[in-house]
Amino acid sequence: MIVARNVEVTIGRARLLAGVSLAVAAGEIVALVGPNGAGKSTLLTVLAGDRTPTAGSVELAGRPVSGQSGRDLARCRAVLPQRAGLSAGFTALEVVMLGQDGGLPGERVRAARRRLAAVELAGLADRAYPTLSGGEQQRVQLARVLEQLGDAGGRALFLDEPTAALDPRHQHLVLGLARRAATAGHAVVIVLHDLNLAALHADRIAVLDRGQLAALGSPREALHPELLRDVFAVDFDLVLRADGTQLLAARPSQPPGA
Amino acid sequence: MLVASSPDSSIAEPAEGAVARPSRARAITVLTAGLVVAIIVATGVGAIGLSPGEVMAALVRPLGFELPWAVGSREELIVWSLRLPRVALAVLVGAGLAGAGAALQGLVRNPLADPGLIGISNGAAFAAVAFIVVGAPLAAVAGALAPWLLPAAAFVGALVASGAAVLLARRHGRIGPASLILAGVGVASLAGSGIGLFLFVADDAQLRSVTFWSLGSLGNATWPLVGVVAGPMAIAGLIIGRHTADLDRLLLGETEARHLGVEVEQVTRRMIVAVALAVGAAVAACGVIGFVGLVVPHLVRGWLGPAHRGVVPASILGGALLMVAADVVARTIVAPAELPIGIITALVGAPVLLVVVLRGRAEGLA
Repeated sequence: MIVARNVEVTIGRARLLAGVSLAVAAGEIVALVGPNGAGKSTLLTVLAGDRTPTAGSVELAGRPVSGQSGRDLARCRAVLPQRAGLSAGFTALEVVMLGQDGGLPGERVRAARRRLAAVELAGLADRAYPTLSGGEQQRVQLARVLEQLGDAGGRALFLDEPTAALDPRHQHLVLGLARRAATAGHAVVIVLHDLNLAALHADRIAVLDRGQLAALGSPREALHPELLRDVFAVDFDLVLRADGTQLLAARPSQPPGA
Repeated sequence: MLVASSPDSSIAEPAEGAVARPSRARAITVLTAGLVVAIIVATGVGAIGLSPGEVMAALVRPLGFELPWAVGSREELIVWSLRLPRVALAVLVGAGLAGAGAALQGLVRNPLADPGLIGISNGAAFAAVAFIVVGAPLAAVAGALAPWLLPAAAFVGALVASGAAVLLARRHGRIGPASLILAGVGVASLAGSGIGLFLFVADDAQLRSVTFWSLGSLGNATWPLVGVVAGPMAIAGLIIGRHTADLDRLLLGETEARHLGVEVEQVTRRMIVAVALAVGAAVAACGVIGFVGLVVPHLVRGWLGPAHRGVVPASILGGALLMVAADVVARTIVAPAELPIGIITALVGAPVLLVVVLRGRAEGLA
């Protein structure tokens, strides 16, 4: 679905990405993790077609991203940016409906209400968007993006830190919806800071370090404590849960209170 | 006592803070009816007063219809030749200014964006003032075209000023809303200082005609002028009408709009062309009339919500209504003299805007 080959991005003298190759299949979730400034969001904007790479190529659904019209791209991928600066007095429902492309008015309203129910905001459908909390706004935006994506599969979904403003329950809800999109046949790429969330919800994890892929593989392969120490410059403890899954905890370089 | 809660949300009480909107069709029907009434009343008001019935009778008389009100060729002449061109010009200019304001505010995502903000009004005013002060020799050689030279100069001034603002605001082929406003303010103040220079060298008669022009007047209305103004207004209306859904998506932010398939650069260019056409034609026909393009879309947005499918047509109708009403006041309040209409729109518009902003009820774009 998504194929990036030797992607390089330089701005002035700064090299933001170098030689990144990544292929994401339909039905798969890949999480991008890495320290601040590692190039996660840059890679996401390149994959989504927002930014043309200095070198290398990106294909979505077999067609090169560069040179496609905005309208064509909108039919093969949907993007949730980090923050959406909307302040106009749309209701939550109206924001979700901005993601739709045509359709009968009655059916559009019903579909948007279903989408809001999926992000557990059915009761706030007619509230003005600016009056919602940050986490609620983020879920409304996700509902809009999922409405654009549709449920037919075969498209790409890009989420940039979709859990940043959310409480633990809704973090899992949102990543569960990403899984549903993948099961429906979409390819999903998510930028995440929380390594444990990434390990729980992603099929594969790409660890970025200073613009390069430091690791790419299953959560157990990619989130190796020694690799993580090199990349994040902090020690990690590996904790085994009773069910055999593992938890990672960053260890403070100095003990608290020392 | 236990009260069973209903699982069906459709019959539940509306959630706290829910936004209730009047339907778009109903709002447009109400505004259209109001505009028709205003046109009939405004056509009857003047030195020789006509009742609404007489106005309607005089309106349909050339078509061969008879209404119960007795009117003769004198009433028909008053209505068709004297009053109606002026009312029609008010409708066109009010509609154009308010529609352009709605489009521009949506485009730059700023509820305080006035068509004057991107330099259009001042550019037109500069060209007009320059023509009034130093253009007299041109008028002498133009012959029958002389009455059209001032509006033509103003129209060209509007297009040049907005074009300059756009060129200054472009960076890497993109026109950002903030840089467009900054460039517009720069062009507007440059044109403003040019106006000051010409005023300094103008004689008394020229000053009076500049003053009258810069405060706006519908006094020049004739059917040919109405016809000439209608062209650019219709084109602007068609362009804006085609992109209402794109303007809605632009409110999400430029990046988000692009993700949803909006060709942001193309829409921006087209909106600026439409706004320059509408405002340029309005200023050329009747001088600078402020506040209509600012206040009307603002009020409409507070009433109908921000979706441009409703805001644009309702602003067009509301702007026409406001302008027709303001012109009635302008030509009756100090009759037989006439107050510049820009003073009326500012007197009405500024307090309304202040009240709306202070009450914070306009769930506009702020």
